[in-house]
Amino acid sequence: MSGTASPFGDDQLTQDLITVIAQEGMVDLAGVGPETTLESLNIASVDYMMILAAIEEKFSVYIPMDESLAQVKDVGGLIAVLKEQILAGKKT
Amino acid sequence: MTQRSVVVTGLGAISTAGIGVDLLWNAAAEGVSGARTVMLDYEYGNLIKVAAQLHDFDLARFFPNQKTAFLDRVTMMAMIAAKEAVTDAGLAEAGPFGPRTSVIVGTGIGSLQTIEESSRTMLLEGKRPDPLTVPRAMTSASASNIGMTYGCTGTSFVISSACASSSQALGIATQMVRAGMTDRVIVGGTEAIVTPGGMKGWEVMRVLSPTLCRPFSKGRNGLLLGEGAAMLVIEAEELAVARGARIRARILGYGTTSDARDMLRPDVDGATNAMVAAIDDAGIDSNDIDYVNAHGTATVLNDTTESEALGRIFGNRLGQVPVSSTKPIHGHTLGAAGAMEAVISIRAMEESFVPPTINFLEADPNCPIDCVPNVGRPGKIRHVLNNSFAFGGINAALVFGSAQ
Repeated sequence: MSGTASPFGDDQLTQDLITVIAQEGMVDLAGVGPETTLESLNIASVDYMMILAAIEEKFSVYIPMDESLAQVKDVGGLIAVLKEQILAGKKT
Repeated sequence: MTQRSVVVTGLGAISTAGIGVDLLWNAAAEGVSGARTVMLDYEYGNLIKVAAQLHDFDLARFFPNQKTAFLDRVTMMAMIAAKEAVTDAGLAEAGPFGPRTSVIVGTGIGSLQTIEESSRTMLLEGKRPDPLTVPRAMTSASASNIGMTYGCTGTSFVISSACASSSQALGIATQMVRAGMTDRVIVGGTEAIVTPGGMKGWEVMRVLSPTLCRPFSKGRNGLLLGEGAAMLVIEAEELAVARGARIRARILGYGTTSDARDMLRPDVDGATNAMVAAIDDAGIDSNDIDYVNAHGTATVLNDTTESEALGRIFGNRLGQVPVSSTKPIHGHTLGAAGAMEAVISIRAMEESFVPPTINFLEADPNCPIDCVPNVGRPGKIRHVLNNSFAFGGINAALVFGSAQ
Protein backbone atom coordinates (compact mmCIF):
# COMPACT_ATOMS: atom_id res chain seq x y z
CA MET A 1 0.00 0.00 0.00
CA SER A 2 1.25 3.47 -0.86
CA GLY A 3 2.37 5.74 1.94
CA THR A 4 0.38 8.66 0.58
CA ALA A 5 -3.26 9.56 0.85
CA SER A 6 -4.08 6.51 2.92
CA PRO A 7 -7.64 6.53 4.23
CA PHE A 8 -6.21 5.30 7.54
CA GLY A 9 -3.59 8.03 8.02
CA ASP A 10 -0.10 8.62 6.74
CA ASP A 11 1.97 8.39 9.89
CA GLN A 12 4.62 5.69 9.95
CA LEU A 13 2.98 3.60 12.69
CA THR A 14 -0.28 3.43 10.76
CA GLN A 15 1.53 2.47 7.59
CA ASP A 16 3.46 -0.24 9.44
CA LEU A 17 0.25 -1.62 10.92
CA ILE A 18 -1.46 -1.70 7.53
CA THR A 19 1.47 -3.69 6.18
CA VAL A 20 1.33 -6.16 9.08
CA ILE A 21 -2.43 -6.63 8.80
CA ALA A 22 -2.25 -7.20 5.06
CA GLN A 23 0.65 -9.65 5.30
CA GLU A 24 -0.34 -11.63 8.38
CA GLY A 25 -4.08 -11.53 7.79
CA MET A 26 -3.47 -12.42 4.17
CA VAL A 27 -5.87 -9.77 2.94
CA ASP A 28 -5.71 -7.28 0.11
CA LEU A 29 -6.34 -3.87 1.64
CA ALA A 30 -6.42 -2.04 -1.70
CA GLY A 31 -9.68 -0.14 -1.88
CA VAL A 32 -10.46 -0.94 1.74
CA GLY A 33 -11.56 1.86 4.06
CA PRO A 34 -11.73 2.31 7.83
CA GLU A 35 -15.32 1.10 7.96
CA THR A 36 -14.71 -2.11 6.06
CA THR A 37 -15.61 -4.92 8.43
CA LEU A 38 -13.10 -7.56 9.41
CA GLU A 39 -15.76 -10.17 8.78
CA SER A 40 -16.11 -9.06 5.16
CA LEU A 41 -12.35 -9.45 4.78
CA ASN A 42 -12.65 -12.96 6.24
CA ILE A 43 -10.21 -12.16 9.04
CA ALA A 44 -10.71 -15.01 11.53
CA SER A 45 -9.46 -15.55 15.06
CA VAL A 46 -6.34 -17.33 13.88
CA ASP A 47 -5.48 -14.33 11.67
CA TYR A 48 -5.66 -12.11 14.75
CA MET A 49 -3.09 -14.36 16.38
CA MET A 50 -0.72 -13.98 13.47
CA ILE A 51 -1.22 -10.23 13.32
CA LEU A 52 -0.59 -9.79 17.04
CA ALA A 53 2.45 -12.04 16.96
CA ALA A 54 3.94 -9.98 14.13
CA ILE A 55 3.26 -6.77 16.04
CA GLU A 56 5.02 -8.20 19.08
CA GLU A 57 8.08 -8.98 16.98
CA LYS A 58 8.10 -5.62 15.23
CA PHE A 59 7.32 -3.37 18.19
CA SER A 60 8.31 -5.53 21.21
CA VAL A 61 4.91 -4.97 22.79
CA TYR A 62 2.65 -7.68 24.21
CA ILE A 63 -0.96 -7.00 23.26
CA PRO A 64 -3.50 -9.17 25.07
CA MET A 65 -6.84 -9.97 23.49
CA ASP A 66 -8.66 -7.63 25.84
CA GLU A 67 -12.07 -6.01 25.72
CA SER A 68 -11.11 -3.20 23.36
CA LEU A 69 -9.63 -5.59 20.84
CA ALA A 70 -12.40 -8.16 21.15
CA GLN A 71 -15.02 -5.57 20.31
CA VAL A 72 -13.36 -4.29 17.16
CA LYS A 73 -15.51 -4.76 14.08
CA ASP A 74 -13.75 -2.86 11.28
CA VAL A 75 -10.28 -2.12 9.95
CA GLY A 76 -10.24 1.46 11.21
CA GLY A 77 -11.16 0.31 14.69
CA LEU A 78 -8.50 -2.39 14.63
CA ILE A 79 -5.79 0.06 13.65
CA ALA A 80 -6.91 2.55 16.30
CA VAL A 81 -6.84 -0.05 19.09
CA LEU A 82 -3.49 -1.44 18.00
CA LYS A 83 -1.94 2.02 17.83
CA GLU A 84 -3.24 2.85 21.29
CA GLN A 85 -1.87 -0.36 22.78
CA ILE A 86 1.50 -0.09 21.07
CA LEU A 87 1.98 3.47 22.27
CA ALA A 88 0.84 2.51 25.79
CA GLY A 89 3.15 -0.52 25.77
CA LYS A 90 6.14 1.51 24.75
CA LYS A 91 5.63 3.81 27.74
CA THR A 92 5.76 0.94 30.26
CA MET B 1 -33.12 -51.15 27.46
CA THR B 2 -33.15 -49.75 30.96
CA GLN B 3 -30.05 -47.71 31.61
CA ARG B 4 -28.15 -48.06 34.84
CA SER B 5 -27.72 -45.01 37.04
CA VAL B 6 -24.17 -43.80 37.60
CA VAL B 7 -22.73 -42.68 40.91
CA VAL B 8 -19.46 -41.14 42.03
CA THR B 9 -17.78 -43.05 44.85
CA GLY B 10 -14.28 -41.61 44.82
CA LEU B 11 -12.58 -38.25 44.29
CA GLY B 12 -8.92 -37.34 43.90
CA ALA B 13 -7.00 -34.23 42.92
CA ILE B 14 -3.61 -32.64 42.71
CA SER B 15 -3.55 -28.93 42.06
CA THR B 16 -1.63 -25.83 42.86
CA ALA B 17 -3.47 -25.88 46.18
CA GLY B 18 -1.60 -29.09 47.01
CA ILE B 19 -2.19 -32.82 47.14
CA GLY B 20 -5.76 -33.82 47.73
CA VAL B 21 -9.36 -32.89 47.20
CA ASP B 22 -9.67 -31.14 50.55
CA LEU B 23 -6.94 -28.63 49.75
CA LEU B 24 -8.44 -27.93 46.33
CA TRP B 25 -11.91 -27.49 47.80
CA ASN B 26 -10.73 -25.27 50.64
CA ALA B 27 -8.89 -23.02 48.20
CA ALA B 28 -11.93 -22.83 45.92
CA ALA B 29 -14.36 -22.14 48.75
CA GLU B 30 -12.17 -19.55 50.43
CA GLY B 31 -11.04 -17.94 47.18
CA VAL B 32 -7.32 -18.52 47.61
CA SER B 33 -5.50 -18.35 44.31
CA GLY B 34 -2.58 -20.60 43.40
CA ALA B 35 -1.24 -18.07 40.91
CA ARG B 36 2.44 -17.44 41.38
CA THR B 37 5.61 -16.54 39.51
CA VAL B 38 6.57 -19.51 37.39
CA MET B 39 9.83 -21.38 37.78
CA LEU B 40 11.06 -22.67 34.42
CA ASP B 41 14.22 -24.68 33.74
CA TYR B 42 14.92 -22.46 30.74
CA GLU B 43 13.09 -19.76 28.84
CA TYR B 44 12.18 -18.79 25.30
CA GLY B 45 11.93 -15.11 26.10
CA ASN B 46 8.74 -15.76 28.02
CA LEU B 47 6.88 -12.52 28.71
CA ILE B 48 4.11 -14.04 30.84
CA LYS B 49 5.61 -15.02 34.17
CA VAL B 50 2.60 -16.14 36.14
CA ALA B 51 0.74 -19.47 36.25
CA ALA B 52 -0.87 -21.85 38.72
CA GLN B 53 2.20 -24.09 38.82
CA LEU B 54 2.85 -26.98 41.17
CA HIS B 55 6.14 -26.16 42.84
CA ASP B 56 6.27 -28.99 45.34
CA PHE B 57 6.60 -32.01 43.10
CA ASP B 58 9.02 -34.49 44.61
CA LEU B 59 9.04 -37.76 42.68
CA ALA B 60 10.60 -39.81 45.45
CA ARG B 61 7.89 -38.69 47.83
CA PHE B 62 5.04 -39.98 45.68
CA PHE B 63 6.55 -43.02 44.00
CA PRO B 64 9.01 -44.52 46.47
CA ASN B 65 8.72 -48.05 45.11
CA GLN B 66 8.25 -47.44 41.42
CA LYS B 67 10.43 -46.82 38.38
CA THR B 68 9.60 -43.26 37.49
CA ALA B 69 11.67 -43.13 34.30
CA PHE B 70 8.54 -44.19 32.43
CA LEU B 71 6.46 -41.38 33.83
CA ASP B 72 6.06 -37.88 32.47
CA ARG B 73 4.89 -35.20 34.86
CA VAL B 74 1.40 -35.39 33.36
CA THR B 75 1.17 -39.12 34.10
CA MET B 76 2.49 -38.78 37.63
CA MET B 77 -0.14 -36.19 38.43
CA ALA B 78 -2.87 -38.44 37.02
CA MET B 79 -1.61 -41.36 39.09
CA ILE B 80 -1.48 -39.31 42.28
CA ALA B 81 -5.06 -38.17 41.78
CA ALA B 82 -6.18 -41.69 40.85
CA LYS B 83 -4.66 -43.11 44.02
CA GLU B 84 -6.65 -40.70 46.14
CA ALA B 85 -9.84 -41.42 44.20
CA VAL B 86 -9.45 -45.20 44.48
CA THR B 87 -8.69 -44.91 48.20
CA ASP B 88 -11.63 -42.55 48.68
CA ALA B 89 -13.87 -45.10 46.96
CA GLY B 90 -12.82 -47.71 49.53
CA LEU B 91 -11.04 -49.75 46.87
CA ALA B 92 -7.40 -49.31 47.88
CA GLU B 93 -7.08 -52.97 48.85
CA ALA B 94 -9.57 -54.34 46.32
CA GLY B 95 -7.40 -54.72 43.22
CA PRO B 96 -6.72 -56.03 40.71
CA PHE B 97 -10.01 -54.74 39.38
CA GLY B 98 -10.15 -56.91 36.27
CA PRO B 99 -12.16 -56.69 33.05
CA ARG B 100 -15.19 -54.81 34.35
CA THR B 101 -13.18 -51.74 35.37
CA SER B 102 -12.07 -49.21 32.77
CA VAL B 103 -9.76 -46.20 32.70
CA ILE B 104 -10.54 -43.09 30.70
CA VAL B 105 -8.39 -39.97 30.99
CA GLY B 106 -8.75 -36.59 29.32
CA THR B 107 -5.72 -34.52 28.43
CA GLY B 108 -5.28 -31.71 25.96
CA ILE B 109 -1.57 -31.90 25.26
CA GLY B 110 -0.28 -34.87 27.26
CA SER B 111 3.41 -35.32 27.94
CA LEU B 112 4.66 -31.94 26.82
CA GLN B 113 7.67 -31.89 29.13
CA THR B 114 9.04 -35.12 27.67
CA ILE B 115 8.45 -33.93 24.11
CA GLU B 116 10.17 -30.62 24.78
CA GLU B 117 13.11 -32.15 26.57
CA SER B 118 13.74 -34.88 24.02
CA SER B 119 13.56 -32.33 21.21
CA ARG B 120 16.07 -30.09 22.95
CA THR B 121 18.37 -33.03 23.59
CA MET B 122 18.39 -33.98 19.93
CA LEU B 123 18.50 -30.52 18.42
CA LEU B 124 20.70 -28.60 20.82
CA GLU B 125 23.00 -31.32 22.11
CA GLY B 126 22.94 -33.62 19.09
CA LYS B 127 22.31 -36.63 21.34
CA ARG B 128 19.88 -39.50 20.98
CA PRO B 129 16.65 -39.15 22.92
CA ASP B 130 16.03 -41.09 26.08
CA PRO B 131 15.03 -44.66 25.11
CA LEU B 132 11.90 -44.27 27.21
CA THR B 133 10.75 -41.19 25.33
CA VAL B 134 7.89 -42.91 23.52
CA PRO B 135 6.26 -44.73 26.46
CA ARG B 136 6.61 -41.55 28.47
CA ALA B 137 5.37 -39.21 25.76
CA MET B 138 2.53 -41.14 24.20
CA THR B 139 -0.75 -39.40 24.90
CA SER B 140 -2.33 -42.56 26.30
CA ALA B 141 0.43 -43.08 28.90
CA SER B 142 -1.61 -41.80 31.82
CA ALA B 143 -4.50 -44.22 31.19
CA SER B 144 -2.13 -47.14 30.67
CA ASN B 145 -0.18 -46.47 33.85
CA ILE B 146 -3.30 -46.12 35.97
CA GLY B 147 -4.64 -49.32 34.45
CA MET B 148 -1.42 -51.20 35.21
CA THR B 149 -1.36 -49.90 38.77
CA TYR B 150 -4.84 -51.19 39.59
CA GLY B 151 -5.13 -54.11 37.20
CA CYS B 152 -7.95 -52.61 35.16
CA THR B 153 -8.27 -54.86 32.12
CA GLY B 154 -11.44 -53.32 30.72
CA THR B 155 -11.45 -50.45 28.25
CA SER B 156 -8.57 -48.00 28.48
CA PHE B 157 -8.08 -44.84 26.45
CA VAL B 158 -7.38 -41.13 26.46
CA ILE B 159 -9.71 -38.49 25.12
CA SER B 160 -8.04 -35.40 23.73
CA SER B 161 -10.33 -32.55 22.83
CA ALA B 162 -8.46 -29.57 24.24
CA CYS B 163 -10.29 -27.95 27.15
CA ALA B 164 -13.28 -30.30 26.83
CA SER B 165 -11.14 -33.44 27.21
CA SER B 166 -11.96 -34.56 30.72
CA SER B 167 -15.59 -33.48 30.54
CA GLN B 168 -15.93 -35.70 27.50
CA ALA B 169 -14.07 -38.44 29.37
CA LEU B 170 -16.60 -38.20 32.20
CA GLY B 171 -19.47 -38.15 29.74
CA ILE B 172 -18.30 -41.16 27.74
CA ALA B 173 -17.47 -43.07 30.92
CA THR B 174 -20.98 -42.38 32.20
CA GLN B 175 -22.53 -43.61 28.98
CA MET B 176 -20.43 -46.77 29.09
CA VAL B 177 -21.53 -47.58 32.64
CA ARG B 178 -25.14 -46.79 31.84
CA ALA B 179 -25.10 -49.09 28.85
CA GLY B 180 -23.48 -51.95 30.73
CA MET B 181 -20.25 -51.84 28.74
CA THR B 182 -18.34 -51.57 31.99
CA ASP B 183 -19.17 -51.50 35.69
CA ARG B 184 -16.65 -49.04 37.03
CA VAL B 185 -14.39 -46.38 35.54
CA ILE B 186 -11.43 -44.54 36.95
CA VAL B 187 -11.96 -41.35 34.98
CA GLY B 188 -10.69 -37.81 34.98
CA GLY B 189 -8.17 -35.46 33.47
CA THR B 190 -4.55 -34.39 33.70
CA GLU B 191 -2.48 -31.59 32.24
CA ALA B 192 1.12 -30.40 32.70
CA ILE B 193 1.30 -27.42 30.43
CA VAL B 194 3.40 -25.10 32.56
CA THR B 195 6.62 -25.80 30.67
CA PRO B 196 8.78 -23.23 28.86
CA GLY B 197 7.29 -24.11 25.48
CA GLY B 198 3.79 -24.58 26.84
CA MET B 199 3.80 -21.16 28.44
CA LYS B 200 5.25 -19.55 25.33
CA GLY B 201 2.78 -21.30 23.06
CA TRP B 202 -0.16 -19.92 25.00
CA GLU B 203 1.45 -16.53 25.31
CA VAL B 204 1.73 -16.07 21.55
CA MET B 205 -1.97 -16.86 21.19
CA ARG B 206 -2.56 -13.67 23.21
CA VAL B 207 -5.05 -15.31 25.56
CA LEU B 208 -2.98 -15.19 28.75
CA SER B 209 -3.54 -12.36 31.16
CA PRO B 210 -0.39 -10.40 31.95
CA THR B 211 -2.05 -9.32 35.20
CA LEU B 212 -4.87 -11.19 36.98
CA CYS B 213 -7.49 -13.69 35.85
CA ARG B 214 -10.88 -12.00 36.35
CA PRO B 215 -13.70 -14.15 34.93
CA PHE B 216 -16.88 -12.28 33.95
CA SER B 217 -15.47 -9.03 35.32
CA LYS B 218 -15.11 -5.74 33.56
CA GLY B 219 -11.45 -5.31 32.74
CA ARG B 220 -10.70 -9.00 32.24
CA ASN B 221 -7.92 -9.62 29.77
CA GLY B 222 -7.15 -13.30 29.64
CA LEU B 223 -6.69 -16.58 31.37
CA LEU B 224 -4.32 -18.08 33.90
CA LEU B 225 -2.68 -21.35 32.91
CA GLY B 226 -2.69 -24.10 35.50
CA GLU B 227 -1.48 -27.64 35.89
CA GLY B 228 -2.86 -30.56 37.81
CA ALA B 229 -5.08 -33.60 37.67
CA ALA B 230 -8.40 -34.75 39.02
CA MET B 231 -9.76 -38.27 38.96
CA LEU B 232 -13.06 -39.81 39.94
CA VAL B 233 -14.23 -43.36 40.51
CA ILE B 234 -17.66 -43.82 39.01
CA GLU B 235 -19.74 -46.98 39.23
CA ALA B 236 -23.11 -48.45 38.40
CA GLU B 237 -25.25 -47.54 41.38
CA GLU B 238 -26.50 -51.08 41.95
CA LEU B 239 -22.94 -52.36 42.29
CA ALA B 240 -21.79 -49.49 44.48
CA VAL B 241 -24.73 -50.08 46.80
CA ALA B 242 -24.07 -53.82 46.84
CA ARG B 243 -20.52 -53.29 48.09
CA GLY B 244 -21.63 -50.70 50.62
CA ALA B 245 -19.79 -47.83 49.00
CA ARG B 246 -20.32 -44.23 50.02
CA ILE B 247 -22.10 -42.41 47.21
CA ARG B 248 -20.78 -38.87 46.90
CA ALA B 249 -22.81 -37.71 43.89
CA ARG B 250 -24.58 -38.82 40.74
CA ILE B 251 -23.68 -38.12 37.14
CA LEU B 252 -27.06 -37.41 35.62
CA GLY B 253 -26.49 -35.77 32.27
CA TYR B 254 -23.96 -35.23 29.51
CA GLY B 255 -24.18 -33.16 26.36
CA THR B 256 -21.57 -32.38 23.76
CA THR B 257 -21.60 -30.39 20.53
CA SER B 258 -19.17 -28.85 18.09
CA ASP B 259 -19.36 -25.38 16.59
CA ALA B 260 -17.65 -26.25 13.32
CA ARG B 261 -17.05 -22.54 12.71
CA ASP B 262 -13.98 -20.82 14.12
CA MET B 263 -10.89 -22.40 15.67
CA LEU B 264 -10.64 -19.97 18.59
CA ARG B 265 -13.82 -17.86 18.71
CA PRO B 266 -16.56 -19.55 20.79
CA ASP B 267 -20.08 -19.86 19.49
CA VAL B 268 -23.28 -19.19 21.44
CA ASP B 269 -25.29 -21.84 19.60
CA GLY B 270 -22.74 -24.56 20.26
CA ALA B 271 -22.45 -23.75 23.97
CA THR B 272 -26.21 -23.49 24.41
CA ASN B 273 -26.90 -26.76 22.64
CA ALA B 274 -24.40 -28.65 24.79
CA MET B 275 -26.07 -27.38 27.96
CA VAL B 276 -29.55 -28.17 26.64
CA ALA B 277 -28.43 -31.69 25.76
CA ALA B 278 -26.92 -32.27 29.21
CA ILE B 279 -30.02 -31.02 31.01
CA ASP B 280 -32.29 -33.13 28.79
CA ASP B 281 -30.08 -36.16 29.33
CA ALA B 282 -30.38 -35.64 33.07
CA GLY B 283 -34.16 -35.74 32.77
CA ILE B 284 -34.55 -32.46 34.60
CA ASP B 285 -35.55 -28.90 33.76
CA SER B 286 -33.27 -25.86 33.77
CA ASN B 287 -35.26 -24.67 36.79
CA ASP B 288 -33.73 -27.59 38.70
CA ILE B 289 -30.18 -26.28 38.26
CA ASP B 290 -29.05 -24.66 41.51
CA TYR B 291 -25.47 -23.79 40.56
CA VAL B 292 -23.35 -23.49 37.41
CA ASN B 293 -19.64 -24.15 37.52
CA ALA B 294 -18.79 -22.14 34.43
CA HIS B 295 -16.02 -22.59 31.93
CA GLY B 296 -15.26 -18.93 32.71
CA THR B 297 -11.74 -18.53 31.36
CA ALA B 298 -11.69 -14.72 31.69
CA THR B 299 -11.05 -14.20 28.01
CA VAL B 300 -13.39 -11.48 26.80
CA LEU B 301 -15.03 -13.64 24.18
CA ASN B 302 -15.50 -16.80 26.22
CA ASP B 303 -17.19 -15.08 29.14
CA THR B 304 -19.46 -13.01 26.93
CA THR B 305 -20.46 -16.02 24.87
CA GLU B 306 -21.01 -18.25 27.90
CA SER B 307 -23.13 -15.57 29.59
CA GLU B 308 -25.30 -15.22 26.51
CA ALA B 309 -25.70 -18.99 26.28
CA LEU B 310 -26.62 -19.17 29.97
CA GLY B 311 -29.21 -16.48 29.29
CA ARG B 312 -30.78 -18.72 26.70
CA ILE B 313 -30.88 -21.58 29.20
CA PHE B 314 -32.22 -19.72 32.21
CA GLY B 315 -34.18 -16.84 30.66
CA ASN B 316 -35.61 -14.53 33.31
CA ARG B 317 -33.98 -16.64 35.99
CA LEU B 318 -30.47 -15.79 34.76
CA GLY B 319 -29.70 -13.29 37.50
CA GLN B 320 -30.85 -15.66 40.23
CA VAL B 321 -28.74 -18.70 39.36
CA PRO B 322 -25.33 -18.65 41.03
CA VAL B 323 -22.56 -19.12 38.48
CA SER B 324 -18.89 -19.21 39.34
CA SER B 325 -15.57 -19.76 37.68
CA THR B 326 -12.91 -21.25 39.92
CA LYS B 327 -10.19 -20.88 37.29
CA PRO B 328 -8.44 -17.97 39.08
CA ILE B 329 -7.93 -20.42 41.99
CA HIS B 330 -6.43 -23.44 40.24
CA GLY B 331 -5.71 -21.98 36.82
CA HIS B 332 -7.07 -23.22 33.55
CA THR B 333 -5.89 -26.78 33.56
CA LEU B 334 -7.08 -27.32 29.98
CA GLY B 335 -7.70 -31.03 29.50
CA ALA B 336 -7.98 -31.52 33.26
CA ALA B 337 -10.33 -28.60 33.76
CA GLY B 338 -13.62 -30.46 33.43
CA ALA B 339 -12.63 -33.12 35.95
CA MET B 340 -11.10 -30.64 38.38
CA GLU B 341 -14.22 -28.51 38.28
CA ALA B 342 -16.37 -31.63 38.59
CA VAL B 343 -14.59 -32.41 41.87
CA ILE B 344 -15.24 -28.85 43.06
CA SER B 345 -18.88 -29.06 41.94
CA ILE B 346 -19.42 -32.27 43.87
CA ARG B 347 -17.80 -30.83 46.98
CA ALA B 348 -20.00 -27.75 46.58
CA MET B 349 -23.09 -29.97 46.70
CA GLU B 350 -21.76 -31.85 49.70
CA GLU B 351 -20.98 -28.66 51.59
CA SER B 352 -24.01 -26.67 50.35
CA PHE B 353 -21.63 -23.86 49.50
CA VAL B 354 -21.12 -21.99 46.24
CA PRO B 355 -17.46 -21.09 45.60
CA PRO B 356 -16.70 -17.55 44.47
CA THR B 357 -15.38 -15.97 41.29
CA ILE B 358 -12.41 -14.07 42.67
CA ASN B 359 -10.56 -11.02 41.33
CA PHE B 360 -13.90 -9.53 40.32
CA LEU B 361 -13.78 -5.75 39.86
CA GLU B 362 -17.01 -4.55 38.33
CA ALA B 363 -19.99 -6.05 36.55
CA ASP B 364 -19.76 -6.28 32.78
CA PRO B 365 -23.09 -5.56 31.06
CA ASN B 366 -22.16 -8.25 28.55
CA CYS B 367 -22.09 -10.82 31.35
CA PRO B 368 -25.42 -10.30 33.15
CA ILE B 369 -25.08 -13.32 35.41
CA ASP B 370 -24.82 -13.78 39.16
CA CYS B 371 -21.18 -14.80 39.12
CA VAL B 372 -20.81 -14.89 42.93
CA PRO B 373 -18.17 -12.16 42.99
CA ASN B 374 -15.18 -12.56 45.29
CA VAL B 375 -16.89 -14.26 48.25
CA GLY B 376 -18.59 -17.66 48.28
CA ARG B 377 -22.00 -18.17 49.80
CA PRO B 378 -24.02 -20.94 51.47
CA GLY B 379 -26.82 -22.47 49.44
CA LYS B 380 -28.54 -25.81 48.99
CA ILE B 381 -27.38 -27.39 45.74
CA ARG B 382 -29.22 -30.37 44.31
CA HIS B 383 -28.03 -30.12 40.72
CA VAL B 384 -24.89 -28.57 39.21
CA LEU B 385 -24.33 -27.74 35.57
CA ASN B 386 -20.63 -27.89 34.72
CA ASN B 387 -19.39 -26.39 31.44
CA SER B 388 -16.24 -26.95 29.39
CA PHE B 389 -15.73 -25.22 26.05
CA ALA B 390 -12.65 -25.91 23.96
CA PHE B 391 -10.66 -24.27 21.21
CA GLY B 392 -11.65 -25.97 18.01
CA GLY B 393 -15.28 -25.41 18.92
CA ILE B 394 -15.84 -28.50 21.07
CA ASN B 395 -18.40 -28.01 23.85
CA ALA B 396 -19.20 -30.34 26.73
CA ALA B 397 -21.60 -29.96 29.62
CA LEU B 398 -22.30 -32.26 32.54
CA VAL B 399 -25.07 -32.33 35.13
CA PHE B 400 -24.26 -33.68 38.56
CA GLY B 401 -26.83 -34.52 41.21
CA SER B 402 -26.40 -34.70 44.95
CA ALA B 403 -26.11 -38.10 46.60
CA GLN B 404 -29.55 -37.81 48.21
